[in-house]
Amino acid sequence: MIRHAITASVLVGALGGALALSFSAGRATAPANAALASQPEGMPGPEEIKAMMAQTAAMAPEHDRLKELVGLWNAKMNFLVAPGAPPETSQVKAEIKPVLGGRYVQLHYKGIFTYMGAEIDFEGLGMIGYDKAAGHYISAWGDNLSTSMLIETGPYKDGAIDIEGSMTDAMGGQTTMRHRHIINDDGSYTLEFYQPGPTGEMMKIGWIEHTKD
Amino acid sequence: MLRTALIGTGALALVGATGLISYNAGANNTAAITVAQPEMEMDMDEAMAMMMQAAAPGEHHAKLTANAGEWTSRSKFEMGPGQTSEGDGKLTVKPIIGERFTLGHYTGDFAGAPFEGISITGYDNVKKEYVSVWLDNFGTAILYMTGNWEGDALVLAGKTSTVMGDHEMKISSVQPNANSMTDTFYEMRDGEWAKSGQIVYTRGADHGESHDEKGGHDKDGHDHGG
Repeated sequence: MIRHAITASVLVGALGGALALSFSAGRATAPANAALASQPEGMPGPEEIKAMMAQTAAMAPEHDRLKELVGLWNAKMNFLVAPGAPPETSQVKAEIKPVLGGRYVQLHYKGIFTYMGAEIDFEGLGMIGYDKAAGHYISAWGDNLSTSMLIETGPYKDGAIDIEGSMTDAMGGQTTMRHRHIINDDGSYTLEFYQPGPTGEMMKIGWIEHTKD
Repeated sequence: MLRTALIGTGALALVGATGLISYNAGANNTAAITVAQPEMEMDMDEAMAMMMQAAAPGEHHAKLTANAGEWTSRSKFEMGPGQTSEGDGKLTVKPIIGERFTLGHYTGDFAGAPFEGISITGYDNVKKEYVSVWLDNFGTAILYMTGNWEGDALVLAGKTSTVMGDHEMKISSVQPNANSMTDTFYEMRDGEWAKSGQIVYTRGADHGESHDEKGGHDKDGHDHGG
């Protein structure tokens, strides 16, 4: 019954990211010049493929910012639950570690936070990277408050990795989310979250203050 | 205890789930919330119930977590016209976040270089489709794929960015029994899906060992009605 399964998209990256390129590169010339493409010389050789792979895999200066997020953090959650009232606060733990040679960081949050007086047992895991080809930061996130996945992209802007995306809501629609990852001068890290407010404009609904554990 | 609000806004937003239902900032914060999508009000318990239901892992998640454990793999990929690359690898699959997702970690060699990749895979109860991301040390992108069952195969498709523009990928995964699975990879070429490679997985931590295991009868014990 449970015999099917997804195998992880193993090696997808190899294809998607780099190696497929070698094939595509060879074919890319075809529409422009079919005669050339049919010649072996039109195809990238092993050295050319190697160079392309190295170029695709190389890190950019933008990846350095991700290092600043790394650590074991005390994460103080702040939620703006009522207009004019002070934020509702609670404390969880976050572990952020580099993966895949520092090309990405993996974020893991766990703990009980308070929201509108309710205690919520929370766990979430995500990845943040910088996609060189696309020229933006990119993030994937999942948590125990839904079964959906949030994919966000965006630039480094005004002192923050400023990413936005949309995810499935319980009603079957899509809700826009925006997150600003800010490295403060004292080495602490603030994560702000925004959602559409009553007028549809993105509104800050809370933030997390990360201080080193 | 958990009664009033998962709903919330914030927390989940932290990371995501929040979008589900957002509160009306102007309203009395305990009486009612406003559901973002259709303009309607629900009481807290109703909204909570809906959200909890949407957040609960089910049979599709169980299919994913059934793959927890260690696997060995043999891969064969097309590297260019007339060229292929073969390699061995290992895959570890771990259920995470209350069995809502699996975290896959792949190591091996590919085209003569050490290769490492990570996947997160789940099933979106609301969209009713599988969702998966993949990232590896051969690039800096994140590939996001979605899909569903097509007969015996779980087929996921998506695109990733490359220096030559977006690249469309598709993976068809079949599992004839609990101890083996095969992923077939496709990429979009000139508007058509072309097979680009295949990975065959066998349950077990070491190459060879898995083939010597007792209980191989299981491997033929299923009729998968192909």
